[in-house]
Amino acid sequence: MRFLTALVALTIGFVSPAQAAFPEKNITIVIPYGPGGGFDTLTRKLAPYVEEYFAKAAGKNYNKIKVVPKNMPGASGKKAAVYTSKQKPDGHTVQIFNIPGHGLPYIRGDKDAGYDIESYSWLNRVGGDNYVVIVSKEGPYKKLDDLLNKPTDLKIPEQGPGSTSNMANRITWDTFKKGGEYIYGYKSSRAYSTAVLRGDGDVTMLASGSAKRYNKGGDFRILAHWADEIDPAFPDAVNGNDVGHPELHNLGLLRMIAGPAGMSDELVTEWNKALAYAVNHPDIQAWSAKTGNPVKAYDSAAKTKEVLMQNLGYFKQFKDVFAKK
Amino acid sequence: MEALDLAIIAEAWLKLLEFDSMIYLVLGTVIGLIFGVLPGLGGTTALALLIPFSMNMEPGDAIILMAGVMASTPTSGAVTAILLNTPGTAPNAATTLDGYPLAQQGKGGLAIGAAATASGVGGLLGVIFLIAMVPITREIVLMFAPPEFFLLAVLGLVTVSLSTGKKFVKSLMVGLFGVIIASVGYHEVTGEERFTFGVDYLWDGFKLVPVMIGFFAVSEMINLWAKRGTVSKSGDIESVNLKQVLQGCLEPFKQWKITLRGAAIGTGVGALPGVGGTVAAFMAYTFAVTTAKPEDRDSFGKGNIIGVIAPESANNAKEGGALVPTLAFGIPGSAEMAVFLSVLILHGLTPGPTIMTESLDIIWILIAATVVAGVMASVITILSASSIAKLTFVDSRTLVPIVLAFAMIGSYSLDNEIYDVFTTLAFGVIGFIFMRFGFPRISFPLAIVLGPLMETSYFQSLGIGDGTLSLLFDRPQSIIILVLIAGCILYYLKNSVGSSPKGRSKVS
Repeated sequence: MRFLTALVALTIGFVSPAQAAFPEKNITIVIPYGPGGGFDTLTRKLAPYVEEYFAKAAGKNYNKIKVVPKNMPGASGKKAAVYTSKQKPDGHTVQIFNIPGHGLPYIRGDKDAGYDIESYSWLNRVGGDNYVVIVSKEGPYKKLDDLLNKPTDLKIPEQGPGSTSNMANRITWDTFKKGGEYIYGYKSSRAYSTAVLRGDGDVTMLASGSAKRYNKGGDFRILAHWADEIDPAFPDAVNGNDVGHPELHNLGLLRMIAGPAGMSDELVTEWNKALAYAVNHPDIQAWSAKTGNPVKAYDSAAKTKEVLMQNLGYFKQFKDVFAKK
Repeated sequence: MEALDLAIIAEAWLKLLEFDSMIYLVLGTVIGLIFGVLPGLGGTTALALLIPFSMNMEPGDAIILMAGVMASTPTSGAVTAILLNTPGTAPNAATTLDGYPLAQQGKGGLAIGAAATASGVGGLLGVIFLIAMVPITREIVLMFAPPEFFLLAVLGLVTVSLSTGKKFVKSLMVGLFGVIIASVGYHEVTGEERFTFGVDYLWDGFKLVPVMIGFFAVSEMINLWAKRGTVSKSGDIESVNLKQVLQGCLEPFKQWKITLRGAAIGTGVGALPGVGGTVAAFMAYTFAVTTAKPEDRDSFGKGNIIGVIAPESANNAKEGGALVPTLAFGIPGSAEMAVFLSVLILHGLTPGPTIMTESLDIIWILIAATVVAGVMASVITILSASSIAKLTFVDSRTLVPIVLAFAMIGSYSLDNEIYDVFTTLAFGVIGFIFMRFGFPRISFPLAIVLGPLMETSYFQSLGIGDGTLSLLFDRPQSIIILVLIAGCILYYLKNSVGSSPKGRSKVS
């Protein structure tokens, strides 16, 4: 009898890890910034739908699994990236990444960042956008040329070096050989766009969705939209084709979810489906349309990695631009 | 004026009086009171934890629930600040300075009564300020640029240093220590790490809550353990009754000028993004000390009820002020507001200039809920104060381990991070050393909050002003703050001349 019991225990012991349904415990989605920002909001909005997908998959454990967003601000997102890279690749800890911001060490070729952006298990894209150039409607700049013809360097309020919008600004103004003096330390895109409104600086860049939200009161003038098709919400804007620089349309930002390196193919596929389920959920799509937070997912993890590397590859061409302070 | 449309206002109040709404409001208020009283677990944590539950609610109900939390946490945070020298939330640290000495004199009930009433009145005044500001929120936010933020930080540090009187030099040393601690971590202007020594935990700098719990609560518990006995050194347990609490309730009305001034400072500071309640409370306190008659200054830090009223009025009033930039521009005025902003967006509301026209109904529900929750929180606190105040008669051998346990749990539960517990312990020891050697601790929290603001806005002012600080002197709003700084120094010097050295305050 003891032998049989031992055999059964041994069998369960050997079989259960391989056949264990995922998830076995609560899932953490690490947010590399503090509460209240765009990454935080999107993650918290998606979490219940990811939970719904996994809870259904878990069958009898329905409702017992929680998907818990965890804010981990620090060092412009680096703290969270290092933390996630050190977690077990069991699918219970994943992170929302800011691309290309988190890819800056890869773009610069820094070896001592503490994490390797290529090594994570990339699961899916959840959001993304392209950029616009904004100025105050009350200011002297009516078109992009007015900015380019300013006799002195442009003053550009910004979050800080290494932020995604800072990278977009640097590439944009470097393309036009226009000098920029960056004023750093604004906490969010809201804060530095308000700084433009207040006259702290001449111009800054925003994701197009944010620009639409912030410009509901008509305070800003959008002078350029780096996209193949200019959004009708930006009637004053030109795009890259108009100014002879269509390559600027590659200046996109991506919000992607990844887990630690070494997640199994099954887990990666399951996560890819869960995120696609959440992003494509009618509630999320309706919320996205209402609030101007663009959401999008891919139907495979391979596509996610491919888009990631394309994006980083584009930014890598400007390695020298980012080396400047 | 559309913003003050009576039909919309009436509709908001009717919505609040519905049964479901009242349930959410009471629930939010009680949760807020609990999170406020537990060290470390402030309004930010409570709001973040409630987000998943609010997702399936109607936007109006979710706002009511959140308003209940926001309006009540600062009120109950004063209870432990007064009784155990343990601020429930970071801004309540200012209340410990005179609240705790009152508790030591067996007047814990009096102090709680005064704090709860000042909180309620301050909260109401803050909301009135918000209502008055609704039509001109945009102008207010645009008026304050980095040069003004820099000068406000200087004003804060000047007033706090002056309030320590003849301990001015020691106070500056503590302030310098605070600035050094605040400089640890990733520097947003240069993009470099400072004093992190390769430790991941320090990449975002020291967190305010564990530092405050350690510096004020743990240090006091070490002190109490060393001295033995009870918190209350004098007074009779029988004297701590509802009568004493109600006497305390009258104090904010007797000291109405202090209450009003605290509320004005609270709402003003609250409306400035990134400054927050801790600065509001400490500024109100130091203004009260600096502008007190020379003969009264000596009583601060020893149990002057004004030292409880001023920061508590400011602390609750700042919620109304903080809503101004949050609603008008989506720029949170405090940590709680950052989470609240996320709640608004999750429910499809877009903060910004148009929220006043598109979602005015929600704004008025928020205002109504904040008013009712603030009053409810004060009443609950007042009614339970005499029972809770008896804690000050519990022997230190029982009390210290319990408070330390709560302090550690509070620090840990903030982010489930064990290093936060170590930070709390380390700053407990540092705070105890400062106490033992007579260093005024008051300048530390202000330096830790204002140091980074001052540094960042200094660099930004240089950037905006083409490498000069000329902007500090050529805008009316910055000149007003400069005059205030000069006025504080002159007023203090004038009142100090002729008064004996003993006549100066000894806030510690």
